[in-house]
Amino acid sequence: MTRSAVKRPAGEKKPHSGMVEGHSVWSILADIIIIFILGIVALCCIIPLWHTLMSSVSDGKTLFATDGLVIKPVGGFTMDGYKATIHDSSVLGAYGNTLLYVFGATFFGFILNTIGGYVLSRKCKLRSTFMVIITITMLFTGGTVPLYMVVRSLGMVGTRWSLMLPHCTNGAFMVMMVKAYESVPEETVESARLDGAGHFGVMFRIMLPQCFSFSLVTMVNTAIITWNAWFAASIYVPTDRSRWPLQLWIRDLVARNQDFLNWTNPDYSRYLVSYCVIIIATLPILLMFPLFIKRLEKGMAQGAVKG
Amino acid sequence: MSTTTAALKRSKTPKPPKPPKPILIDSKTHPWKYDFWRNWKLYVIFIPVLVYFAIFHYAPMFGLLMSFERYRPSKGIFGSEWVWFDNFKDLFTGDTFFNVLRNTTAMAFLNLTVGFAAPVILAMLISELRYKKYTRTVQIISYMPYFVSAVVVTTLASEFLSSTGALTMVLTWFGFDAQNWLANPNIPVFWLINTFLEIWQGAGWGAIIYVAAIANINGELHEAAAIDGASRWSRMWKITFPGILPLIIVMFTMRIGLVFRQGFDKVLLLYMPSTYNVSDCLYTYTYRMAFGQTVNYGISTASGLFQSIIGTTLLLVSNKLSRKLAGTSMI
Repeated sequence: MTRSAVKRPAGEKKPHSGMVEGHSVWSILADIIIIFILGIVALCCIIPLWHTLMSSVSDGKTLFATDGLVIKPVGGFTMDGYKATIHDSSVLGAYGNTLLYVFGATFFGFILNTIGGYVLSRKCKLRSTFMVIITITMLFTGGTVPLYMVVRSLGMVGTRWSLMLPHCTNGAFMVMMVKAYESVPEETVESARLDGAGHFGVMFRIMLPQCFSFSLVTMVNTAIITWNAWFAASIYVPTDRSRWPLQLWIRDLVARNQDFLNWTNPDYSRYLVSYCVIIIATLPILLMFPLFIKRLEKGMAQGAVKG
Repeated sequence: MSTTTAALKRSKTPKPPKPPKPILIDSKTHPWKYDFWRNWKLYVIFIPVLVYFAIFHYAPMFGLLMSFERYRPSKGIFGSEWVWFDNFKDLFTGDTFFNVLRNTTAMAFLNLTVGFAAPVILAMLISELRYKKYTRTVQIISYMPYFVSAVVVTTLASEFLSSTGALTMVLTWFGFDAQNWLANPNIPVFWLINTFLEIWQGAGWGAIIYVAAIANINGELHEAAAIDGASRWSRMWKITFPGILPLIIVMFTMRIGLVFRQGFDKVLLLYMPSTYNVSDCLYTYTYRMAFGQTVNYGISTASGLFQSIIGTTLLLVSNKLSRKLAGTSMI
């Protein structure tokens, strides 16, 4: 077998032809060990979520008395937990809040990143000054309390804006977008400008489609940060439950998980609510992310190579 | 004749390019004026970004002045009494400060070492196996925890580590007592839990870039080595690992820079008064001093500033290291 005979298309992983790999006992043993380890990793990732899913469709009273792992619904399959969840807490409203905050923050972040990245990738005299301004924010932060003071003095405490604007972008995302725009060939930009495209035309129609993976990574990161955010809500809208995002509800419901025991006639389906809320909050993303995982992976890998 | 020119004009782009304006400003003698004449539109559209960073990033920096004052909300930042370094003195001499600093350092160190190694090892294992369907499935599954929120992760942790939880039961097989592990005030327990959660959540996601980097290693190297009789193990260490070493160095130096800033959000959800001596860190201390029962904005800001200074120092050092070792840098 000569070297030229083993040329394979670019991008394919390292060769595993029978000849080079061999079928030695050690090689097979190594395979088995790796398969085993990876299997455990996958199980570790999936078991906690499976446990929660199965607990959420179990019978409350039986579950309350059950220890350890729940692999299949205990006490028979019921939807009582979901009924109780939808029935008497404002979980659906909180879901709407979270979606609003996620879309809001991602939208504002997208606009700022796109504009900022574009301007910072153009040749102009103030470019380096702007770059320094952005970079300094990556080095120094005021911290939680001073940011709170600023948000309060803007009159945004207690409003929905306080949960969308303060964290919609940051220096790192901005720098990432600058690098993304710099990777776009300058000729396409010049020809578009000669055809009469303005700044926004070039930005959104010419450059953005060519580096959309980067943009997607920043957007998904902003979305995840906002989706996960409970801390900001706990200080900006601490008592206003109608504006609480889902995560804060989960925290609250879990903390009050066993309060129902103090009732004269304990309703054990209340015990299921925290499981149900976790599933309601988590399952949609887990079902959605495989749809755009390819692009995300590409953006991550490119960002690492370029960044 | 005239109709054909009109047709020609119409057949061109919908907006025919305007004749270039005569340049009135000489770029040599008036470079700034020329730049503004040419790029003023760029500067105008950049204004929202500048305003955003001014409000949400620069204005809070002025708030750091609070750490040098005895802050009274009624008097405001510019009216409160200026006490120089008294808050820092109180912070450093407080009886919990040693524990706080030790816990912060320990958790940061664990995240930097074990937490950093986990995705690299996972990526090497994933790439080493030839059954691509299997590894792809494992990889997709390993991304899942990344999309689970911190609140849910900590809820799951307290469920699995409670005295009747599944993980506690597994640990009893190895001779540990059944107990609520999160309430355990002994030294490495809480730190290990925090690191484990960090790995659980981030290892699969962090492995993406290493898997991509390993895939980019030239396959012929492996074949040549295999023909020369190199074993799988030695190929892994002599080809795969050196192949991704530059990336590892870049990522590691980046991680050094961020290790004092990130990875503490779950502590705030997990810790409880009975474990403050092992779980309290600068982040949670800052929070408690500002939004807890005893409010002291001065100390809170001082502690936040202290953490920020260490974080910035580490970031600058790591940036220098990265530039030296790998030729690239974050900033």
